[in-house]
Amino acid sequence: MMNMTAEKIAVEFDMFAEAERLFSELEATSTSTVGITREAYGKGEQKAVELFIAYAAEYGLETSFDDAGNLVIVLPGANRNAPCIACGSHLDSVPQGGNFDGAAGIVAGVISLARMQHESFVPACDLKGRAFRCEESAWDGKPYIGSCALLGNLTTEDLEARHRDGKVTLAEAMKSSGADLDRIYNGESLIDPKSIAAYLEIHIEQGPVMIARDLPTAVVTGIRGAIRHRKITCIGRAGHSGAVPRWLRQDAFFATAELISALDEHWRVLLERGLDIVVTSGIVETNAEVHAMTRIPDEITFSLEIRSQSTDALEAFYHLMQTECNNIAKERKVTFKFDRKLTTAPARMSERWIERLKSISEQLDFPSELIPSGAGHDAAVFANAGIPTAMIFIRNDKGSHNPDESMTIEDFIKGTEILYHALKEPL
Amino acid sequence: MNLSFPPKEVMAEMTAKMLLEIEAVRFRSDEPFRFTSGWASPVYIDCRKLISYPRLRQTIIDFGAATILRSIGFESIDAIAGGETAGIPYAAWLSDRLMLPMQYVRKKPKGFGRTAQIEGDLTEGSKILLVEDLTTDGRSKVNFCNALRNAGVSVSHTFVVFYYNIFPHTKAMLAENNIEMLELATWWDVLAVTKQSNYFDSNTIDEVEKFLNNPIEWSAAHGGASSFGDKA
Repeated sequence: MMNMTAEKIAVEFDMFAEAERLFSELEATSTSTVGITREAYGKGEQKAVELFIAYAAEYGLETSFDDAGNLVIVLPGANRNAPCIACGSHLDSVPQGGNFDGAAGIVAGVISLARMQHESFVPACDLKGRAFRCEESAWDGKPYIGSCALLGNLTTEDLEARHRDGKVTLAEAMKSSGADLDRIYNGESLIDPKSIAAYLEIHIEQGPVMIARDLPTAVVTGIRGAIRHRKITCIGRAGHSGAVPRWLRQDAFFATAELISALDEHWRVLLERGLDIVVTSGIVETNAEVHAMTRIPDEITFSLEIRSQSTDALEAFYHLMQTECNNIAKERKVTFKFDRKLTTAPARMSERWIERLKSISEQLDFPSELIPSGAGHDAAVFANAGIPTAMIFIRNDKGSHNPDESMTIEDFIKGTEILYHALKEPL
Repeated sequence: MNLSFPPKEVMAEMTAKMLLEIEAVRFRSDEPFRFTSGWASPVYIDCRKLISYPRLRQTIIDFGAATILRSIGFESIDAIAGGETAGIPYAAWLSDRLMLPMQYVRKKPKGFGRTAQIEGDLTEGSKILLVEDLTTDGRSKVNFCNALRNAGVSVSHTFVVFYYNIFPHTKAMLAENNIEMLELATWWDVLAVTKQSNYFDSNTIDEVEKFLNNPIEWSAAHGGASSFGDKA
């Protein structure tokens, strides 16, 4: 077991009560009546920022904003010039999502720092809790905006994409949070990656595996990357549903349906051969202004997302998709038009930190199983910037990106306990 | 017809050796293979590879014909039906060897009508042997048999080259549906051959044996389905 004095003081610092309080206060920052909505660069996200600042102040932790407008909460270390250890996650939620996706990682970090402060523990280097803005792609099309801005990974195209509401661009939305847009446009890294010795992130699991395997916590091996198109347009020719025979039709919807069926079959076969792939078409629309039951649709727009832990698998599947589009286009006399291809790279977690988190889990008598992350996280941005990165998952029922996600505080405390020890006794 | 009847164990061992020889069997203990039914598995078999090796496939068909004649009889089946897709070549070669008519059964009906799932001429009331390349948990056999029975023929037996023989209740479930299955080899035959040879390292073989002994637990532990009826 861990140091007994720390255990004893830990009883005095009631992590359970602190966590319950923070989560219930966070719930109140939601701007929707169904589920939780903390809009990126919007009201809900800002209220969450203020809440964490107030909490940090209670424990005398330093707070500031980085040049990308993300919140930083610091427990000062003995050597303030040494590379820091960072931990965190994201503030925003999807529209009508749950309370724990993102927030759990920030709460775990800030509670760990508060507990150390309470125990008068001075770490060797600064420990920084980071709360990122705009991780969810639901708001601006691209995920991990806050962490990408910090590490200089946003392009002009990203910055000029329209925010979900259509009124402002991403750059305009970011400006309101005090981001240094000149440098972000230049693609400068706003921090020196070498100033971060490690980045640790806690997140709820967003798949069903930990429930099925009865694991309260798990250590993550890697994070799936993605290739996405927000909008692919299939263009055919409109016609009277009764009058045009099959062989003369250019039906955009039947063509799209054939494409999706073909992709489903490729996917099935590739899984059998052991490739890691998931494919989703989350938005499919006919043009509501002209669509009709008796009109052969001349235009379908749909989104397409391919995720994998392997860059090769992503590219191979993407290539298959293009081939299918070409074949169907010829066969059915339609055309497929693609908007910008958005790529996020898969990320590997640090082997040393995986081992470290496993051994802490074992010392705490928790399971030390490894699982991959199907969903993307800010941690991927840190890992791909060459910063040693690791993640801890916490069991969560009913998935995420919906109001029903449910993590128990008991499981959350277990994950936080691992993080606390990892921050306190780093490599 | 030139038929010999080697003992069942000899046919099983030789079939396993042939599958290993052409690398139709793959073992992998890190990233699992994932099947349509949701099962995660460290083993993968591709019986379709056999069709590219004439000497092997001829032997497989010899074994198949011997197994069918020994277990069902010489005059007890009227035709051979292949299951789409991989069952079709085996059905063709077997029907040729046994001088019997052939049909094939689709996974899903095309169009409508009683025979929308069957291709080829079917004589009402005839006795059909369903042929496929392999059986995982047996569910697709029931689908094919029902399609044939709906079309007005009787099916009492199915023949496959390879049967997983690891999921519980497969044969019982087939029996409930009045189907008896004949097979040439199973994973246990392949495992026995790999243990005597050095196709795979011992760690991989241990992992495979763990899976074969408890596929449901292994699957669940690797993010796959964890029970029957789980269509993950």
